[in-house]
Amino acid sequence: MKDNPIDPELQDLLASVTEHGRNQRRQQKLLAQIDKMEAEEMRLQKKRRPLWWVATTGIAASMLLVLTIKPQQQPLVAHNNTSQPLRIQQTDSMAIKVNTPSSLASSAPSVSAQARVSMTQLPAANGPQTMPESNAELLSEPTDSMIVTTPSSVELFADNLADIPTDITAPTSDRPVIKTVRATLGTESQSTESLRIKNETFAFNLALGPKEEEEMSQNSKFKPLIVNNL
Amino acid sequence: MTSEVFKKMIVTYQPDMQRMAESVLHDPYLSEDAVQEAMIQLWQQRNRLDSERNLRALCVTMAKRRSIDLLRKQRPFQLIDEEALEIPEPTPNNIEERYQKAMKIIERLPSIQQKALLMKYEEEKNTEEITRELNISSTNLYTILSRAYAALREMMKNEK
Repeated sequence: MKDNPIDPELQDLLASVTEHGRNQRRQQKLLAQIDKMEAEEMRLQKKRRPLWWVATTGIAASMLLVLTIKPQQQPLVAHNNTSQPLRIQQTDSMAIKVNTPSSLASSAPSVSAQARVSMTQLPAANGPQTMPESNAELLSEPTDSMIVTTPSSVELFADNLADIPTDITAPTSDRPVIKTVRATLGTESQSTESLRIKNETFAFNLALGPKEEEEMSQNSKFKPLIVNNL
Repeated sequence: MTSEVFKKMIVTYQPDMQRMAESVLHDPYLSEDAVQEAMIQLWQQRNRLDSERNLRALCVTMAKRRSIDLLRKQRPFQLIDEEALEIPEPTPNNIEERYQKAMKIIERLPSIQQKALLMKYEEEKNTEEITRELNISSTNLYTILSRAYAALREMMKNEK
C-alpha cells in the first residue's frame, strides 16, 4: 500500500501522533517492569518471612518456658521470705550428716537419717512449717544448722539426743553452737527427760517475739537470749 | 518513595530520558534499553529519591550515564566526550500541544478514518493488522486513509 504524498504540515502533525504513541508504549513497558520488580521484592520478602517467624516463635517459646519454670523454683531461692517451707530444714539436715564422724555411722543410726525421718513424719495437716525471718537466716548458715533450729528442729534434737553418743554432743571448739546451747540448757548432767522439757521451753521462747521472750526470761532460769545472739 | 509515586515520576520524565539517550546513542531501540536500565537503577535507590530536589535532572543524568555505558560497550575504542553531551532542555511542550491539536482535528473525522489513522500512526500497526481488526480489505484501507489525509489537509487550511 502506498501512502498519498503528504505535505510537511500534515506529516509533522502525524509525526507528533506517532511520537506520542511510541512514548505511551515505552511508558507502558517501564510501568510493567516496575510492577515486575515490585512483585519480585514482595516475593523475596515473603521468602525471608519464615526465618523471622521461626526466630520470633523460638524467642516466644523460650520466654514462655522460662516463665513457666521460674515460679516452681521460687520457694528454694527466696531465703528472705518470712514463711520458710520445711524443705529448708531438710537442707540443713545435710549439714548434720557432714558433721557426724563416719566411725559412728556403723554403730548408731545417723542423726541426719533420724532427723530426716522425723521431719517426714511431721503432721501433714499443719502444712509447711513457718518461722520468723531471723531464724530463717540462721538456718542458712551450714555449720550451725544442726543446733540452731526452729522449734521443731530443737525438738528433733532433743528426741534424738539420748541416742547420740556423747562425743558428738560434747562441746568442741569447732562446734561453738553446740557448746552454747548445752551451756544454756545445762544438759551435761541432766537426764533426757529434763532436757526435753527445757528444750520445749526454749522452743516456745523462740516462737515468741523479743518482747515476750524478755518477759519470759525474767521468770525463767533458762536464758534463750543466748541463742538469739547467734 | 512509594511505587505509585515512582511510576508517576517515570511517566513524567520518560520523554526527557528518552531524548537524552537518543542524543547519545542515535538509536531508538538502544535508547529504550538505556532508559530501562536507568529506571531500574532509580528503582533500587527510590528510598533516597524523596530528598532529591531536582528529580528531572537526576533521571536524565542517570539515562545519560547508562547511554554512555552502552555506547562504550558497543564502541570500546572510541573516545567519548562526556562534557559535550549536555542535558537537553525539558521536553518541549509543543510536542504534547501538537498532539492535542492533531487529535482535535482527527476527532472531527468519521469514525472509521479516525480508527485507521490512529492504528497506523499512533499504534504503528501494519496494513495486515489494521485490515484484520477493522474487517476491511487493504484497498478499502487505502481509500479510507486517502480520504482522511484530504480531510485533515482541508481542516488545517481552514484553521489557518
